[in-house]
Amino acid sequence: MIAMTVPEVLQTYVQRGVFQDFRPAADKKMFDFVWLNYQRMRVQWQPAQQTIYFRDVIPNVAARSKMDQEIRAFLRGRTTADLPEHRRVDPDAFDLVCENRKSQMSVGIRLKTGTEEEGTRQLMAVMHETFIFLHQRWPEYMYESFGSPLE
Amino acid sequence: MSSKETGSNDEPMKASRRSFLKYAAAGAGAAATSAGMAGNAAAQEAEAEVAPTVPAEIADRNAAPLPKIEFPMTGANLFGRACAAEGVAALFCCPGNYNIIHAIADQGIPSYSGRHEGAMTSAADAFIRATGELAVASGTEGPGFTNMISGLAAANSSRTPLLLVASNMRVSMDDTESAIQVMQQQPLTTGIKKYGKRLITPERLAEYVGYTFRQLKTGIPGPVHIDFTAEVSNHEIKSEAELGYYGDSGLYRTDSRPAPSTTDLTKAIDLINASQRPMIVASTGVFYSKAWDALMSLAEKAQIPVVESGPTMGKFPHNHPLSASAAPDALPSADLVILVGQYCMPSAGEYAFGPEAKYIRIQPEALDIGRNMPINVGIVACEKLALEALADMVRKTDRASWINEIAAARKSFQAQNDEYYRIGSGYTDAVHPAVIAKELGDFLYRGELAPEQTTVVAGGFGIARYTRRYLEAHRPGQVINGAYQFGSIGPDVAYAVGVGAGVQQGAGVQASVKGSPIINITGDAGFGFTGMELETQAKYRLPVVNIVYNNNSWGTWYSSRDLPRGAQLHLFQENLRYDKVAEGLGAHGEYVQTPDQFLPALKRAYEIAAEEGIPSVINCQAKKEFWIREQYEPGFLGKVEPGVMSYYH
Repeated sequence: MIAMTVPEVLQTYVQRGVFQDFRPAADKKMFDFVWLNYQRMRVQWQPAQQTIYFRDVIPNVAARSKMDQEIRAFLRGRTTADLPEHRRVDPDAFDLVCENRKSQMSVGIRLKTGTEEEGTRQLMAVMHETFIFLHQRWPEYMYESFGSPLE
Repeated sequence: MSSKETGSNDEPMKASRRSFLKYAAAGAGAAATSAGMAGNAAAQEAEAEVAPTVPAEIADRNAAPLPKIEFPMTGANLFGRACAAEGVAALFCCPGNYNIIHAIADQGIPSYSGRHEGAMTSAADAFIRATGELAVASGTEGPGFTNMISGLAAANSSRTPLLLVASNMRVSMDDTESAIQVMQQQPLTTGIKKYGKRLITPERLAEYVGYTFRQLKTGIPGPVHIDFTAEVSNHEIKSEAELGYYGDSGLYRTDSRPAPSTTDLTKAIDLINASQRPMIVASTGVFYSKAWDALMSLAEKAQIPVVESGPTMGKFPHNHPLSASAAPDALPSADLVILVGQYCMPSAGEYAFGPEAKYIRIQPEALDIGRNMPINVGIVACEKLALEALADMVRKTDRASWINEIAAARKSFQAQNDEYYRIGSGYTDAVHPAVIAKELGDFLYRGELAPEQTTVVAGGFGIARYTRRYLEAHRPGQVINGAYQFGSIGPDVAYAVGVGAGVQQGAGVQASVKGSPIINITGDAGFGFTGMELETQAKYRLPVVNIVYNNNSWGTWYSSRDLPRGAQLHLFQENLRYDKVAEGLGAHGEYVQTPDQFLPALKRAYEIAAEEGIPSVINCQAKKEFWIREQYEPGFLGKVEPGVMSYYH
């Protein structure tokens, strides 16, 4: 079976109802859609860097703040050997990357030996689990930045 | 019924015994604030003389003769007769709608009156959620009815088959504003009921009794709102013959349930067989279809872990090796999710299952299948029949690695909770919620009590984020999720009236723990809404231990604390004595100010509930700053759904 490209993988989530209002850019390198917390999210595919990013997906987090550090630690934990294999981002195949520019955090995955399809699916899973982590650990942030109920 | 159960006014609440317990504890240093009162025997005697007493009419209510209801009878009596025939197990009301409530009570249906119609609606909701049996909430027209609306909305969100009845003025008075309380009720409950009807045609009452119980007993459950105009409740029915076939429930409704199609079952079995890590979500429909045995058969045969959601917990025991209810870290690993009776449907991302998961949904009506989340297979069937069929068809499977992952996730969750307790018990100047949660859990499930004995109302706001983590359900109906979906934080004391009544009666699934004490967890904000129902608990001798988390504020304070004008809107007076309110209302009070005082107070309150049937308030003095993570780790907690933390869905 031929592995899918990044746009093709993202399209599968549209067909399965995971994404809503999916809007790919003409060059198929930027994709807008509504997903977690009914928020509009942007995925950027950088073929030259072999990197897929959720851009500015975690807003309002000061660089080097406790929350910034905890999110980075959580992401590092996604690659550790104590996670079940089906949940682990294989560090030989991928690098998880995280940027914080002007308090906007972007989370991405850099393909090393892994395929676009595997990388995209891994990034989706990581993003989903990051939101679970935020809901559990930082409920007031989710209330303020994503409109989650505080109750 | 013995005087111990009834709390007859011949025995004024055994004040001396409780005083002994309380002041013995104070002497040991466990109730520091009582010290000033200790030893003042004369004052105690004076208090005992004026202690609240239960009148004989309440204490001996079950011994009162039942009137013989015969034709000719009123419409109200016909309705009461139908309630009895259809197995209504309790009535919760305030005075008003007199014809109806008296007609129901005259049928021998256990009947309770409280202080507020809204609270009584919540009590009826909770009774049903705890027992699986039908109950009626009743209020008078006008303000009595409008008081009930919030409780009805919560019941609707919980898919509770609650029968809400309210009186109404005569049809002939419509639009007149003659006298008082003339209004149209049904428009106000639009969107928060399964079915509703204003009864205006006396000759059709029996027909609408049929509508009422068809709606309550078939399909996806939900509340029914009936308002009785005076013409209908006062209408005289001369003989059985006037009812036509509506006199026989076997003719106006059926107990038949939709069975699953073989095609759908085969598709589902194919998905289960192909799955590496399937998981069942056991929700509302499992409870109301009494499908727990079928669920166990399927889970054990195919080695499929089960996680709970919904307003009532215990459909799958939390101490079973296949239980994933306290294993949140494992949820994203599931590759197939089988939603069984998940009527209140989450949206993408609200449940922790990953974006690759496939979904099977099982419920008795097709209309909702596919809403919010895409499905791979939908099965329109009674949950019990579907689970039985799947259990028959599925092959025995070994999923050792998946079960090990669940076990590891449970261990990890427990380790996290232990860490919260370690941190919380280090704060010694007030009672941290982790102390309440952990020590309550140990007391209920790992001490002298049988783990399945105590039914719990899991209410409150911030405190609930802690206690839910430590609560366990070992049998159906053991934990009632107070704030489920509608998010009301105020009805907890009223919910405990309903649950307490259900356990006192041994109704429905509470039969095995008939008469046992129950626990109610609430906050100081919630207590303010329905705290007067302590008097209802006391007068009916409902053995409820009410744990009040008192942090001097609404749970919303911490997110508004920096607002110069707004912050004070979220505060109460500090150090309020809800325990003394309890004592004034005929209950027992405990004031707990330091962590070491909590467990002894809990033991005393539980013993009083068990031995004397008297409710208590344990007023746990906390502080609002516990929610601020920067000052007091771990701060206000979030949650992961489904599972023990679940209450949105």
